[in-house]
Amino acid sequence: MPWGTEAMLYGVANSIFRPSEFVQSNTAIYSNSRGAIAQYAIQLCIVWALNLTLYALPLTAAGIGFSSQATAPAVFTELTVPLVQLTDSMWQFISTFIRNSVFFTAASAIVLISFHTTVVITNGSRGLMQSFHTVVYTTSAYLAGIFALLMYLSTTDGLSQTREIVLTLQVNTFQAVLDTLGWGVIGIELSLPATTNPGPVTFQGISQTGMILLAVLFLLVLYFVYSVYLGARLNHQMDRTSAIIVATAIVSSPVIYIAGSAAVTILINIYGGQVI
Amino acid sequence: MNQDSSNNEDGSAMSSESVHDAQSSEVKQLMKIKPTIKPNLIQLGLTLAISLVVIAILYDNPELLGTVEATNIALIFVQIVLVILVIRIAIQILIIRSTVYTITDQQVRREYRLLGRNKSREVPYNLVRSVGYSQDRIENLLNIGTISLNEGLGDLELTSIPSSDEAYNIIQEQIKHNR
Repeated sequence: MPWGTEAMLYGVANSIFRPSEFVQSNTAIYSNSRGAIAQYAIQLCIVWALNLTLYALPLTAAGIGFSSQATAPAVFTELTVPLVQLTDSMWQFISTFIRNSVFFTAASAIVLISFHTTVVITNGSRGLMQSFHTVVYTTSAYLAGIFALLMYLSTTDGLSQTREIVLTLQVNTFQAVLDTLGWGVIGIELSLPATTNPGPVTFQGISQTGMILLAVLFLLVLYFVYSVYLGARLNHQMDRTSAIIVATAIVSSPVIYIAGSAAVTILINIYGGQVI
Repeated sequence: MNQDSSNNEDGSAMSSESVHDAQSSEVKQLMKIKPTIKPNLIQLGLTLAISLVVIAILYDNPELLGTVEATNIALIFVQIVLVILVIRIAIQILIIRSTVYTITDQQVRREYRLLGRNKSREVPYNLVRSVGYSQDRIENLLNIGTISLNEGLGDLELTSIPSSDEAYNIIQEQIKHNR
């Protein structure tokens, strides 16, 4: 695996202009010894960790998710006092960094599980390493881009209308899934909490910057889905139909999350004696 | 297994110059091919034509997607995609213009240059596990083809080849001869 500034620039250029080159793995490596495969797996983990750091570190440095209340536990203080004076600040920084990383890490894990499960079910799997390679590169570039953009929208002044549009689209999607699962599947009405009402998407008042950000967000989502499709085609040598099934499964994986959340809420409400 | 090198020279290590010279002189070049950029030019033309039509439609119908703002977002999206596609095709043209395929009696080799970097890749015939020949619609119209060696195993693809039938037959013959 190439490292260095030149390799990174080529990587960035490939991720935009040649996503097939970006996502494709060198499958010849996987026919080598277990040691070589293990070494490559470690390299992939390093790539993923570096990209996670690139995503979470600026957020942490900007103070997003920061809590000034947190004090370092005694064990941490004991370990770090010989190295740093301000153990509370270090603890707050590390815990904020972890908090900012959790969502992206969880999303990457969901993508890996969904991708590889679907590839195995469609009988197209050439191995876990091929799936791992695909997910590391697709999430590191495109999913991280989506998350970074959403975080930028939620924290930047002057983009309130754009923020509102993204939130409304999210809420409407959630409600559409709940409606399908509720009325369509189990015959009862499911709805989101009263504080998050679905409604029409209003584009009026959106700034030029907001329009560009929405267009870029939509493009990143398409890139992500397309890169997953390419990963299935190139790294698992799947045919078009199977690769489309894999990409559809990734797009549908939030539905599983929503269904799971709804099921848990129903159980809690029933168990707690409340009527839906 | 393919051999990659970042220079034009073959990477095999030799114990003495005379052995290297003797072996080099035994290699017989059978065919040297420069791929054509015609398919990429057609792709570029089609991309520009379709994108400009879509952009014109969106400009002429500002409320096509419900509101002016929604249509503007779609317009920005199409323009970004157009720029990306044009740059992508330009990169492909640059690569193909500097690409040379060499078929010898021992191996098939692809060499190209991009941004001052020379890249070459070769597959010796005794390591070829599969050979494929394909033509998409544009290649069919232009009477050119693509030859793929070892697809799925670190493949080598010879794209946009004029006289692709002849090249394919030579490669097949050499594979049989070298087994």
